[in-house]
Amino acid sequence: MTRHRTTRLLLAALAATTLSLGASSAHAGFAESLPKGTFLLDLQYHFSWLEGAWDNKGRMGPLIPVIERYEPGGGKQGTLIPDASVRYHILAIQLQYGILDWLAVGLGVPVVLRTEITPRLKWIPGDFQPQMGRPYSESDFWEWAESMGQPRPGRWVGNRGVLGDLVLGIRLRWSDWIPAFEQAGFASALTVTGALPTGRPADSEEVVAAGTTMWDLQTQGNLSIHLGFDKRFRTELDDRLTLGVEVFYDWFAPRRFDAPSGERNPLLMNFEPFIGTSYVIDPGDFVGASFQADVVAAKGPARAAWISGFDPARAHAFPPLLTLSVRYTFIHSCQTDYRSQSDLWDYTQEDRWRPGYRNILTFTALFSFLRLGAPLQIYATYRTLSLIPGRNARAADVFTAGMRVPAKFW
Amino acid sequence: MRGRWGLTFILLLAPLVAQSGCDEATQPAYVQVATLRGSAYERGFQHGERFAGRIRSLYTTLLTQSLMPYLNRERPDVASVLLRYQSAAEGVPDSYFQQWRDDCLATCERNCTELCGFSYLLMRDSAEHLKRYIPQPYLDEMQGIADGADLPFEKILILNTFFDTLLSFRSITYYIRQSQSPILVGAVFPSAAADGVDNDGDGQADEPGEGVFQPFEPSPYAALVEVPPDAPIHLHLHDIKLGIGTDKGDTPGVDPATVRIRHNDVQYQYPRDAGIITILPSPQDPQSLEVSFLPPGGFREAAVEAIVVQAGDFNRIVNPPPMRARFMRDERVVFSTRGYGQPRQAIPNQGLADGQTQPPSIAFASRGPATTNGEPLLAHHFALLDSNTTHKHTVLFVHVPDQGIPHAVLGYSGLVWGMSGMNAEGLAWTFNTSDTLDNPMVEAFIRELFDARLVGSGVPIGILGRDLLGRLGTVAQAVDTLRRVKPTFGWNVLVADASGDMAAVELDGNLEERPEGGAFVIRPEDRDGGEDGPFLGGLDQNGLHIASHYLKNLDDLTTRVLVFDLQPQRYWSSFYYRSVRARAVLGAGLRARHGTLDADTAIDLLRTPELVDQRDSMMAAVFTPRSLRIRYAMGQVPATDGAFLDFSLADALAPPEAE
Repeated sequence: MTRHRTTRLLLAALAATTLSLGASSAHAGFAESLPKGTFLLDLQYHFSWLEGAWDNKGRMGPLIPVIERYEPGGGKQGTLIPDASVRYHILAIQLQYGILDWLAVGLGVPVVLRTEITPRLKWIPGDFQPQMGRPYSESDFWEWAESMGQPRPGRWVGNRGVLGDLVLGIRLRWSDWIPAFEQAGFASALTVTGALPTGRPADSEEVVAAGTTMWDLQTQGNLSIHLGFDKRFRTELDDRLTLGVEVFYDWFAPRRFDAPSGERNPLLMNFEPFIGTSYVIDPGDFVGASFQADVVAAKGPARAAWISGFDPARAHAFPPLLTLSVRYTFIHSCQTDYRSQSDLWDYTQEDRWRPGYRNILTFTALFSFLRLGAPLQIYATYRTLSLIPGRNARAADVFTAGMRVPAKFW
Repeated sequence: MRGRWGLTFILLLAPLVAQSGCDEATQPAYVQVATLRGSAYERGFQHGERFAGRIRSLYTTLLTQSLMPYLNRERPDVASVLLRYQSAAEGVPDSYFQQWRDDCLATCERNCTELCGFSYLLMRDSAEHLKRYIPQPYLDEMQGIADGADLPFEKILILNTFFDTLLSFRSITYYIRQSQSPILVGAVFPSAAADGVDNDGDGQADEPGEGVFQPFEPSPYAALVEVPPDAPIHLHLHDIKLGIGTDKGDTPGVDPATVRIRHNDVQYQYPRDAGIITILPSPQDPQSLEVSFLPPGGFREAAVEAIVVQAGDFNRIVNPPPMRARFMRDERVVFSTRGYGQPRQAIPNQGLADGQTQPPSIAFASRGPATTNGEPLLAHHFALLDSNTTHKHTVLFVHVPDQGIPHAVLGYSGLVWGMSGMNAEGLAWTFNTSDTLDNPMVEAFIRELFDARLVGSGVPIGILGRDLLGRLGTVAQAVDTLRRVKPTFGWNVLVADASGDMAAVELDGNLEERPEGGAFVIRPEDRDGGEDGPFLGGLDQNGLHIASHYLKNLDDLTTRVLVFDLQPQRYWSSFYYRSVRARAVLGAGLRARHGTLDADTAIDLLRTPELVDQRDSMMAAVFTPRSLRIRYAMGQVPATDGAFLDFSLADALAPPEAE
């Protein structure tokens, strides 16, 4: 319940927004890079909602596997379906800088503004209980649990303005060194990002809670390597189409977490006596590929203004007024490994994080006002994991609104 | 130069991807085999060192997270009778429990919910009391486990004794609860009084009182035979107020709205099925309820019919929650209708498997002509408590002691004992629970009344089994020991040896000092009711089959203490009817396999769906004492759903071959 795949925010930020601003770079893509000496400030607001997960058979189900409850020696009380509704509000601030035309660096600062988790617990009654004259109803069960000291999980709101893992990145457009690429309309870049462990893990004592680390957000690894290729059709299609493909690998660093001792949830979260005071999660890495098409819907007028040095030719080279993009991403996620003093507990946790895959569709509309003389781009993105079935993956949907401001000081 | 760097970067990807282990997690083995050698302490240390994680896991998931909080809820009910367990909540701040709790909380730093709770006090006190009955080698072994696992001895002692404590405690709390619930005091078949048939098998037809069962007597056989199928049955329910417990309701009597009657596989409930269930007026007695039942179209002709009756009272128990009426135990009445043609004793009180109750533990032993090759075997399926965790901690322990007989037991990490086992001389042992109020906790209550302490006494049953296996080689020796030992509760033991000898021994606390000494021994040749009666413990002289009720010890305890009428097992135990049914199904299965029994057919029989507790099945095994082989299934629920693994004790004990 505490791990949420909101969106690959930071990766998207570095990969998709780096950068459509170069005088020679009219489109978004996997191989764009900031022009030398250019800064770009990118502010994004992400709203993520999560209502279910793809199970091991590729069916949409609850976020957490169902829990079969048993009365000691009294048979099955019932089946608890611990579904939940999760909302994340995140602000991502990015600053990028073009060291060279083919080399850019960036810093991403994700701040979780608020996380809300609303449990939607459901109940399937179990065995007839002779001592009650009925099977346990849902309210019976929670009365029973509360009499044993276990409160019913309620709505959780937290992470108000909490920093996530900082991201540092570098992009190298190595294809610039090979003139044949440029001549054929191809470009390729290698992007490497690394996350610093500045995020906060979820409160270990809470049944329903979320943290702000990369593991919690499930967006990208602590080390992420992307190799992207773009093909532009400058002459054939009036430079209105760019096709891109990238492959990537995301490595997650093992991380140690405090074991809950059940001080607030004595039945559900009392693991410390047998797993030890802490445990390590070694998340399953991501391997995947994306395919993207950028279509220029409207190039718009080009106005020679101060940002183009009042040069009409430079203004024409700025990105078009409206670019529409669609991206398909496939991610294979590996098995997540738990390490504690109890192999039995480890397995129960690992069972929730089996290998799987995600099918992600992303739609973006990018408005660029550079041609009009304003140093501003705004964009909106809808990213969905719920449209195409996946396996062992949470089906998060994300809406993103962002703005970019380029600047060049020398 | 630049190109080389770029290429290097790109090539970085390949090894990283290649190194990414992406293997799917696999379930750790829930079944382990451990051979322990040396002194008792050394064997315990090996055990504790190897299974430290599993021991902690079992303790926490079964006791801390399941049983202890569950038992904590029983304290208010218990404290209404046993005053030393009252608390400040009941206005008694200086009670034994409250003072202990206050002291505990004042010094406790971690896990205080567990360590300062009522159930921990209960388990600890009882463990300390039981300790004096445990032979020293087993205490040494526990100390070894504690040292090997780096756990306090007290926790290992509790882990090894909670089972015995729990069952005695449960019998008391269950009985207190049942004694305040409605009771089926009578069943009347009015049509049997004038049908011209001998319905009760007494040689007379329509004599006065024929068809009247008042007081109602739970029986392993049919209540009546050849009953006219078109007439109703009248049931007399009764409910009294004892003024104890946490539901001191003022309104006595049975709530008609809670009356449920299951006829074979159809459930009827009043008032939804008024007309089928008819409430008869009984204005003179507000504590009574007369119910008439006749299914639509009447009962079937020439058939065995079963009805199961349940009702609650007008009280509403609010603590422990959830709120509910006090419900009586399901009472089952079986009878045959006109034309069936079988005597009472030939019709077991079996009823239909209704899915609402699960079968309890069973065991059987066979030999000679009953088996394929004459080799004796002993089979067992134990079911009681899994709580979705126990099955993950199973271990087949082989003990090779410095002194004594090497032996194997099927048990759990952290326990020195098991549910069954066999030794190198071919003595095999199993036990089942058998509810009884003839136990040491009740003894303490009889002796000290309101000031009684809930502590067990006697040799814990599993340790008793270890003791037999470690010292004795024959059934005769085992029976002799069982006759002399003080048990902690009611148990049905089944033992067999390589010679083919076998015995069932029904144990209780012998509070009434009967001549059997608390050990009722059943041999295959024993008959019920004289030389011409049916075999008491089996189908013939070549087998015994038991479940979780007494066959011979039918009057385990009948006495009165304060307002409580303490009664024999069959009147109150929630295991009784399902145990009677399970034993009948087991008997039918044995009959069908007579002459063909071997380990495989025994396993096939253990897997009979009507004999498998789907929720709390713990482990199943077939022992062949002559060949020293064990076929065992555990590590899943039900245990019999998994493969029966083959283990040769002889091979395990053979000296390693020289290189």
